[in-house]
Amino acid sequence: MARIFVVEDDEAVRTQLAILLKNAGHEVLLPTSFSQLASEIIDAHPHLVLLDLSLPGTDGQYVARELRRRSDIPIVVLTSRSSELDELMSLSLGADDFIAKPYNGQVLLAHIDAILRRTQTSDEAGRTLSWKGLTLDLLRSTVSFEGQTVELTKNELRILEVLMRGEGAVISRNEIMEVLWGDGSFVDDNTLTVNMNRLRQTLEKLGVKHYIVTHRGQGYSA
Amino acid sequence: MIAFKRRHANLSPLAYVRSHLVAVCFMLAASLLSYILPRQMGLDHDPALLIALCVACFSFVAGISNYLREKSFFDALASIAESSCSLGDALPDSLHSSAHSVQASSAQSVPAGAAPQPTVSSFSYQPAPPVADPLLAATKLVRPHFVEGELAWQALQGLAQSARREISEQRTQNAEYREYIEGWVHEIKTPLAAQRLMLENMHDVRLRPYEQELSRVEQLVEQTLFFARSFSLENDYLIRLCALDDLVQTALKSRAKSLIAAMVHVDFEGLYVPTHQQENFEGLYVPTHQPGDLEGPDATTYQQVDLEKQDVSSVSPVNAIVPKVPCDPKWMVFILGQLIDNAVKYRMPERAAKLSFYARVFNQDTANERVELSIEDNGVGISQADIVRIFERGFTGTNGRQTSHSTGLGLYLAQQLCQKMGLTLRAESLQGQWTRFIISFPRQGLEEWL
Repeated sequence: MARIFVVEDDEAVRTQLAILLKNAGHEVLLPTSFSQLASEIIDAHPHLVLLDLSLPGTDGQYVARELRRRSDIPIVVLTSRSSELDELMSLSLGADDFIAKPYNGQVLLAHIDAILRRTQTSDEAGRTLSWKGLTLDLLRSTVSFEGQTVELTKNELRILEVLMRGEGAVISRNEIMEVLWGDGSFVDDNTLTVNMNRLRQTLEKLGVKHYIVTHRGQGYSA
Repeated sequence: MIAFKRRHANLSPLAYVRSHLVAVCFMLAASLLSYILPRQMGLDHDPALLIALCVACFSFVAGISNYLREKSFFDALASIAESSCSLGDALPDSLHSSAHSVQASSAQSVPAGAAPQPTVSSFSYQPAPPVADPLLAATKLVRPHFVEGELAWQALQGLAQSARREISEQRTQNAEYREYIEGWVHEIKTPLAAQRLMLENMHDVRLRPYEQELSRVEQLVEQTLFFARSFSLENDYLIRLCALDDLVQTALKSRAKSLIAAMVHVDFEGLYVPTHQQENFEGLYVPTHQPGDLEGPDATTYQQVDLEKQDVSSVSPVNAIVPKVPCDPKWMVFILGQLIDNAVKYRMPERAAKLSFYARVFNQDTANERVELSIEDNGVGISQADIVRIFERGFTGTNGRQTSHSTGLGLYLAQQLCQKMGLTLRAESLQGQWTRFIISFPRQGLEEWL
C-alpha cells in the first residue's frame, strides 16, 4: 500500500489512473492546482509521484527539477513524447523512471512496484492481495494460507495474481500469457500448461485444493 | 526523365565547327576570294597567295579564340546538365527499380548430382552514390564575357534563384508538416492512453477485441510518427550500445497480443553466445544478467531464482553473453516490431508458426567486424520477383495483395531508419518455407561508443 501522487492534466487519463492505482491497493493523491505543484507534492509526503511533463500553466520539467532539488520522492515520468532523447532528458531531470503513453496498466503497476521495492523498506511497501482465504504478497513473492507460507516462482506469482485479481472471473489462457510476456517470460501454450500444473502443486503443498478452476475452452478462475 | 537519357552535347572542336558551319564556309570563301580577286586584278601568284593565307590565318585565329573563350563556360554548362540528369535518375522517390542497384542472387550452389533445389532469393538495398548538386554548380558559374553567354548565364541565375526559393519554401512547409504530424501523434496518445486504461479497468471479456483494435491503432500511430521522421534531414536519434536481448524482448512485448493470438512460438536463445568465447569478445559483449536498460532494473531477475525453482520458460543464460550493438533503442524496437508484424501477417496457416532471433559475429577483432541479427520465420516466404522490391515504398507484392491491410510502408520505414543509423537491412527467403531478415551492425560505428 503506497501513497501515490498523480500529476496528469488530462481528466480522462487521471480518472482512469486513479481507478487503476486504487484497484491495485494504492492510495491516490491529486493536486488542487497546478501553480504550487512542487510544494504541494512535498507537503503531501507521497511514496511516489506520477508526473506528466506537459502541464497547463506550469512546466513539468521545472516541477521535476524542483522536486528533485527539495526531496527524494521517486518520480515516474509519464509522457507522450517517446523518443530516446525525451527519455534521457527526463532521467537527467532526476526522474527515476520513464513510461511512454499509451502504456499498459499492468506494465505501469510493475514499474511502480519495482521502484517501491527499491526505495522503501519492505514493510511500508508491502502490497498484498487476498481472495478466498489465500493471501498473496506481491513484493516478497509468497503465498500464505492459514498461517503457512510458500515461496512462488516469478511465473507462478504472476499467474496467481491475475486469477486472484479477477475475483472469480474466467481469465483466458491468452490473457495470462500476455501478462507473463509483459514480465519477460515468453511462454507458449505448452509451457503455460506446465506452469499451471506447477502452481497447482505448490498450492497443494499449502493444503489448498481446487483453488484454480479450469473452464474448458475458456480459461481459468480462482 | 527519358529526355535526359540522350547523350550529352559536348563542346569538342569538331562539334564547335559543325555548329558554326556557315561562318566557317564564309571564312573559307573569303580566303578563296582574297586569292582569286587579286589574281584577276593582275597580281602575281605569290603575293595573292600570301594575302589569302593571311586572311585564312586571321579567320582561323579568330575562330580559335572564340572557341577558347566560350569553351570553359559551355563545359561548365555541360557538367551541370550531366549532374542534374544523374540526380534525376537517383530520385529517392522513384519507383523504378533502376533507381537502386539490385542484387538478386538466384544462384545457389547446388551439390553436384543433387536434385534441383528450390532457389533461395536474397536482396540487399544499396543507395545510389551521391552526386554533385547542379543548383550549387549553377550558382558558382563564373560570369562569361560574351553576350550570348551572358544571356544564358543570367537566365540560369534567374532559374537557380527561383529554384532555391521554391526549395526553401518547400523545406519550411515540410518542416511545418512534420511538426504538425509529430504534434498530432503526441496529442492523440493521451486519449489513446485513456481508452486503454478504461478498457483495462472495466475487466470485461467482451472488450478483448476492442483492446486488440486499440493496439492496432497504437501501432499505426507509431508508424505515422516514424514516417514523418524518415523524411527529416536531421538526425533525431541517439545511438548507444544496447543489448540485443533487451531490444528483442521489448519488441516482442509490444507485439505480445498478436503473437499470442497467432500462437507463434518465439525463440531467442540464439542471441546468447556461450561464455567460453568471452575473452575474444572484449568490450563488445556484456553478461546478460546485468540490469537491462530498457525495462527497468527488474527486467532480468531470473538470475536471482535458483535453478531448481526456475520457471520452465525462462532462458537460462547463466553461462552465456549477449552481443551489444550500437543503435537508437526506440528506433530498433520499432524496426523489429515491423519485422515481427510481417512474420505474423505472412505465416503459413497449415503449420505452427515459429519466429527465431539469433546473432552472429563476423570478422571478429578486425576493422570490418560486424554483428548480424537475424529474424527468421517459417511463413509463406517471398518470391524471387518480389524480394528485390520489398523495401520500396508502397510495394505490397503478391503476399501483400492477399491480405487486406498491407500499406507497403513497414519494410520501407525499417530500411530507411536502418540506413539513417548506418545499419544495413537485407532479406533472404525460400518461397513457401521461410523468410529471414538480417540487420547488420558494423563495428566502425561502434568504436566511438565504447
